[in-house]
Amino acid sequence: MLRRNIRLRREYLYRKSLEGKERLLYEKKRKIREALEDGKPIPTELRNEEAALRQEIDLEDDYTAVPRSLIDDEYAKATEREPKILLTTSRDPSQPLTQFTKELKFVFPNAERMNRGGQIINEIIESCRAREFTDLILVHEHRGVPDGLIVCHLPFGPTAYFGLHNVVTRHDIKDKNSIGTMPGANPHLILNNFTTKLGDRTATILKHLFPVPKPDSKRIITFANQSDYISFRHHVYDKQGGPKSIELKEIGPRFELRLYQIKLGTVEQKEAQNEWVLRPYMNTTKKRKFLGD
Amino acid sequence: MGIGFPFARLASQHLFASLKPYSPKSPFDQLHSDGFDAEQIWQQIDLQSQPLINTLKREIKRYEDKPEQILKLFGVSGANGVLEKDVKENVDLGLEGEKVEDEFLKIKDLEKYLLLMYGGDGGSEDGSEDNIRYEDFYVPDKKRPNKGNLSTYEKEREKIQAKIKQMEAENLAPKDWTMQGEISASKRPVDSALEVDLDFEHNIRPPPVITEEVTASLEDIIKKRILEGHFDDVQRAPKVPTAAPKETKELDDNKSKKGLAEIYEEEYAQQTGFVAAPLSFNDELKKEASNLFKRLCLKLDALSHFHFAPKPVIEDMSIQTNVPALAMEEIAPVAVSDAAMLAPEEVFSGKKDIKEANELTKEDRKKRRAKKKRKYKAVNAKKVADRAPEKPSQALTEGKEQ
Repeated sequence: MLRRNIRLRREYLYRKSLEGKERLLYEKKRKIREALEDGKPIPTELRNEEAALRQEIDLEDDYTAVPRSLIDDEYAKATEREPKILLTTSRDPSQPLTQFTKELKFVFPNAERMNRGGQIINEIIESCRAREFTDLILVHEHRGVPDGLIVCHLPFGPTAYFGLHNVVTRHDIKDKNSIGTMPGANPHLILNNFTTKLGDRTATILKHLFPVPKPDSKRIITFANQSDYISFRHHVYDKQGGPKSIELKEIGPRFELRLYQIKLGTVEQKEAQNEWVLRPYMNTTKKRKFLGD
Repeated sequence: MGIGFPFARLASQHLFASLKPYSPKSPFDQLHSDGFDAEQIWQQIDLQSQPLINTLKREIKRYEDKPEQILKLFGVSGANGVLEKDVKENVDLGLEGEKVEDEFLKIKDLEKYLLLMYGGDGGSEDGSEDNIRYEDFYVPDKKRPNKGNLSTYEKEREKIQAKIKQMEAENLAPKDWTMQGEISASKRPVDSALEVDLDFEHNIRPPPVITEEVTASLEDIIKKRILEGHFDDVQRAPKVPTAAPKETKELDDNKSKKGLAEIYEEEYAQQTGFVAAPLSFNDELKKEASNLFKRLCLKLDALSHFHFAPKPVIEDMSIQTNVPALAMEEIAPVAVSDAAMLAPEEVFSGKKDIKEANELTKEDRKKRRAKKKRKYKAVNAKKVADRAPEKPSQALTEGKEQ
């Protein structure tokens, strides 16, 4: 198992090293394709290679035309299998945190909750790999207020670190009748305003925590980005007065996520590269929006 | 509170009763003190005194406007209190002549001051009261500059001087802690930071406050998305077909122009190979695909040195002495030509030290120049020896030019 993992990791790194070259080749092909479509002369710098590249272009189909990046590779096979999630907390969780994890368990279909006990991260990851979990979610707290969420994709990563703000759990709302019950159907997803490359990446990480829903599913989960804070909302809807009238009803927890790190590896890998880190004290941080407009 | 004692209650009752005629608006005839606590009694007094104070103010204003009425007042009412007597005396004296005026009190100044105080708005009273000083009234003439005699320039100067004085005083006074630069909690008064609006520069955008508007806008987005049916769900991966699709045979429902015998004849001719079958579009594709596949197979075979069949077992064992101990495999595939496998030194058989112009070191350049010179000299010497020995100078100049 260990050797297999090492081999897989090495292969992954090798593929990553090829990515730059592939990208270059793709750009060349794209230029040629454009020139051919517009009926313009082939760019002079590509005239020597044109014949070979054109042959390659002819042989391409929908799957091979666009180069699959390494980043897609981690999630390349994610759609073939339903996600299987392990949920756990930091050590010695308080009552509110355990309640919050319970709710998260119902938010993600096909999730399992585990008491953290005294387990160390290495052990957890190892057992997750052995049982073919696709994701591990760790929830952290500060004095009973959930303040951190780590989403780790298995087997190779990436790991996204989120900060949690404005958490309102179902347990906080005492009126049981007003919040209603939690449906178990696979939810539809709404990912709003993830326009940048990083936003796209974050959306991919979040998206693949949920299985493919049925088209008529009435359960909606929203991740709406606004100035780098991702609002999580959970609704069910009903169309009682005709197809145009939608009655939304919020159920389940709500919170704001703030991304602060993406690591190209699993949680336990201290040596793993950082894909992106939030630098809050840089002068330009104020002006920039990382996930979308 | 003094009202708690019975004497104090009595006293206040007496005062209330004595003030009653002057305050007709008061709802009470007398102060009710029995069975009331201090707060309630104060309330009653307040009810009476507020309108009384207002009327008094009005009265005073009236007298200011028409000072002769004061006389009337005193003529009618007579003097009751000691204070009033004093006032009357003063006023009488003042009317007799200007004898009241001494070095302390000047009637004119008093009037001016009164005008200043009550002439304008009532609201300005508080501010002007703070600035009243003894010197305003009671300063001998010598010290006080007479303001009436000042020129406009001097007045201006005085104003500026006053302003300068004020600013200097402000500058000299100890600064507020907010203006003192860096400060720690121990150096400033306790809880003083609570009262100041401090300006922080936050580089991080603060987390959004979830108001009803925010929730409403989010729900609008969600509703819109639902109506459009525009979700960002994970798409199920399309399955790559493993088997080739079945070929559908085209059925021709036209009446055949050929007879059955003719069709059989053609079929037979094709089978025996007399006539080649016409190529359809599908066949052409197949042919191209098989060509491509053959080419690919050839390359793959070359990688395995064309050893696609296992080596036959040698039946009879015989010992050969002149073979290498290890049968080393060539690294390069057999199918690759030798020409492509030549090492660079085999391809290029020139001198070793070949350098670009910008790679040369100083020594190299010197060496090259020296060599060039030597060569040139040798050639030149030869030329000189060959030709007439008269013109060596021309050749030299040519060399320099080069």
